[in-house]
Amino acid sequence: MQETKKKSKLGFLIKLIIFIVLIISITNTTYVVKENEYAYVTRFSKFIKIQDTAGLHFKLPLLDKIETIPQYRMMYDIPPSEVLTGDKKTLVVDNFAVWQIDDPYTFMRTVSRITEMENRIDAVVYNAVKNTLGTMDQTTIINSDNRSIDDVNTKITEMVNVQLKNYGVSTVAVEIKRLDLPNDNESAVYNRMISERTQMAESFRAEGNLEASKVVNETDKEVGILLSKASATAEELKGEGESEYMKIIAEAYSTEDRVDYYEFIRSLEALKVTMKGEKTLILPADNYIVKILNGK
Amino acid sequence: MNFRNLITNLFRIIKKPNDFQDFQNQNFDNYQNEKKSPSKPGRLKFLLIIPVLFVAASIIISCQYTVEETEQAVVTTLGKVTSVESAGLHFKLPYPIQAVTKVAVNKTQKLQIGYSSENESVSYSSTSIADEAKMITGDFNIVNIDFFIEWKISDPVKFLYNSDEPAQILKMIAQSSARSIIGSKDVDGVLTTEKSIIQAEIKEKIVTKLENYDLGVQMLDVKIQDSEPPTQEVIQAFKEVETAKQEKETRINEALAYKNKTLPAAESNADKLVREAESYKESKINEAKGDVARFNAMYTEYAKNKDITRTRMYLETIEEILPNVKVYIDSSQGGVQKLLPIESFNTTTTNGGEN
Repeated sequence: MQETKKKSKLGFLIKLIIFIVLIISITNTTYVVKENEYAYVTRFSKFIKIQDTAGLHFKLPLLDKIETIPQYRMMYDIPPSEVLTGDKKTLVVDNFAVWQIDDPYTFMRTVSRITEMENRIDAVVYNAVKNTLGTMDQTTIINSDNRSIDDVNTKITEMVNVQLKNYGVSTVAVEIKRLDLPNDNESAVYNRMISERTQMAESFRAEGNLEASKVVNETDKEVGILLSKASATAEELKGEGESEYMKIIAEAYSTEDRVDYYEFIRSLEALKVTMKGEKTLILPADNYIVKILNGK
Repeated sequence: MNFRNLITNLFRIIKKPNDFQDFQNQNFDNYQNEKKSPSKPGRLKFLLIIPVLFVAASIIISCQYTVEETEQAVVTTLGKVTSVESAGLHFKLPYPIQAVTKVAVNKTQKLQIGYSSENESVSYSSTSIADEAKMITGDFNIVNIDFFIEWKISDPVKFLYNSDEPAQILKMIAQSSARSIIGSKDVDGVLTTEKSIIQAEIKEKIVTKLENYDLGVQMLDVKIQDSEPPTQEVIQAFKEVETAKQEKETRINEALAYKNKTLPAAESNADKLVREAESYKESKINEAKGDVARFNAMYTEYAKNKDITRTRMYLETIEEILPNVKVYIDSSQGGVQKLLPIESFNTTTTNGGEN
């Protein structure tokens, strides 16, 4: 009974050891490559191969060393830097780069660390930006139709990629995220904006006055024309009235007899009017009435 | 030995969780055995079953997962993507063999640029929010533009594996696109009239760029939240222009009011002049007609007996006027003047002066 107990205890220990060894050997002979990784395999620090297919892979235990390198695209937000434009003006340029490792072998041999690579990207991008914007005027850079800023981005990306090829790295794109004037220029811009607006406000006011007075003047002119036309018409009408009057009268006194009669009654009427009041009249001796008085 | 059995069974579970049933049975058998020959180690084994059961249960639980309606789950087997599952209850092999990453594909996500609502914790970006908002327009004006983009995950595998921080890259692309569009507009367009055009152009630009980046995300919308000049002084100056515009309109309206008031008044005056003249004309004609009619009537009578009528009329007139008039008769012949006053027949004839 004790014999079997001892035996089974020993058997168990053996099993346990075998099991542990098995586990260790499994974990040491296999490695997992994820979908977005490269595995860089070295044996005694000597490069063996790059494993870029995801899944379970085998290696020699203890001898092989695996390093994982990102296969995915990485975003690097490059700190803003000042750049001199072609017309010697300063601009603050803020870039970002989205980059990836194309050739992990070259990458591991040249740079091997992501942060170190970012430093290099920083330098390369700065140079590309400086060279590209350095040939352009500030106005052209800022007042771009949106096509041309794309061209600038493309140009920078191409220049950067030529440089980065040495590291087995490429950028999907380098883009200008922000493009600002340096801080001390900004207040000048603000002042200019204010003066521009003040001038616009003034010109609006002046325009208002001008247009208003134009309307008033035009109105006054129309009024003048209207009234003068009306009075011309009125005078004409009055003249017509007079002429009609004369015509009608003239027609009525068409014969000599009528004229004679007219003159006679008209004289009588005139007499009546002029002889009103305290008047003195001297009649000649041969006057009709005097004759009657004289009994002739 | 009890302990030995336990350990081996435990290992078996780790290797093959389906053996759990066996393990239980076996334990039960053991337990039965122990009961037959009750001893101290038997109780120890019983105590050890509890943690073993616990471990086994947690492994089983880790083998099943639920995917929500708004999600998709990307399943990787030993690092390799093997399937993408949609909503429902699913099973997988335990870690480290299979792993599941759930991705909210149907959820509309929002990225704010140039501002942050209170809920959003920290901006990932190295630039401050004020700097994000500041942009130069094509005519060298600086404006602050706050906007947000709405997007969703269109391809969960690409979203997870093509880049490290897709949302952050998207934010960068949005900033870059917005800047290049704003740089092609002038300040008045940006602040007022062209907002919707700008939104559409930014969206279009982001969509084009995303094709190149291949992040597995889809652009839904770009909305400009707010666009205004950078400082209070400048804002004031812009407002001043608006006021001036209003003033201009006011002045013009006042002038138009003057016009609308004055012109009809003048027309009515003009009309009055013409009507009065017409009236004058007509009255003159009528006067003539009246005169003629009267004359004609009188003349007809007169013509019947000219001399008598003539004398009668003359005398009638004389009758009318002479009573009030001093009459002198001039009977002078040759150079001698003799005036005979008719008035004073009662007095002697005297020479009176001419009046």
